[in-house]
Amino acid sequence: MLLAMFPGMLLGMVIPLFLAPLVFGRYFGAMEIMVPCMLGGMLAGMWISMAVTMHPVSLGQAATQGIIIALGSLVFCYLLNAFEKMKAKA
Amino acid sequence: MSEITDKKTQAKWDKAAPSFDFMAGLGAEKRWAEDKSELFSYMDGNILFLALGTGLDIAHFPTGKTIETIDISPKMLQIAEERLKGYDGSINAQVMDAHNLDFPDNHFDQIYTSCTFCSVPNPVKGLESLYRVLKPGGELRMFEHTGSRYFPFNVMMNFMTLITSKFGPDMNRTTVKNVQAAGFEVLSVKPVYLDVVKTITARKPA
Repeated sequence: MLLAMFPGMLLGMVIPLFLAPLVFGRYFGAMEIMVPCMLGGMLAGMWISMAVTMHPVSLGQAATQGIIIALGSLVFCYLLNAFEKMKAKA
Repeated sequence: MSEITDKKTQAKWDKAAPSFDFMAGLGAEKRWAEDKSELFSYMDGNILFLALGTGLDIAHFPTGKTIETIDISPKMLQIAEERLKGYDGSINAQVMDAHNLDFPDNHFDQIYTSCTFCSVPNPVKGLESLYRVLKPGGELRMFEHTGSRYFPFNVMMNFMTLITSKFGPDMNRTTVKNVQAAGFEVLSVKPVYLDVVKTITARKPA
């Protein structure tokens, strides 16, 4: 299970590193894309690769779980950024 | 003009030049425009700007200034030519290595950088070079991306650097510490995105 998580994590990080700037580069700064997308990809990759070693997971289930984790990562990055700016102003 | 000894870095950025505007100039310039304009609004006196790249930052410069600028890549400066001509003021661009600045000691009142010290191979040596050419009491104002102190971002940044350093910048630099190591007094660090993209204001002690 742990061995499966590692390639899942690597794939989840590498794919967004190249793909995310191409898709979203028109709208955001490079870091604003790569950091949340890589975090989401890393966590989703780890989670899904772990899940498939434990029990059968359909493509739909994997996609749903991946999307939920990715959205959670986006919200986390947004809130952390807001916290950093608030801290700097204080 | 000083001779460029770091041919490897020069070749890397020459290779990146044709696609640089596409990768760095779309969303980044829109999202960071306000912070860059605010940083550059302090431009005054004898100014050095490094590294110019394709000149995307010129749009954020206040008008009517006289600015010396350098870049290690002649291909970047070729692309910047139109933007240089369009500036309402005077910009003199030269091919030069940040490690080995061909300017006299204590020459500039202010030095500005924009996403520069993610790419200078020896950042402390480069910053020491800036320290030399800056007048005592002069200001160093930087717009930079660095590594993060937060887990797991710091791990991600280290991983990204393994890949991005082959064709572009490092993502895990400790630029604020490097500025201090070069002898500058850090006055403020303002976050632009997380603790990764930031503006740094420092001063050479009088």
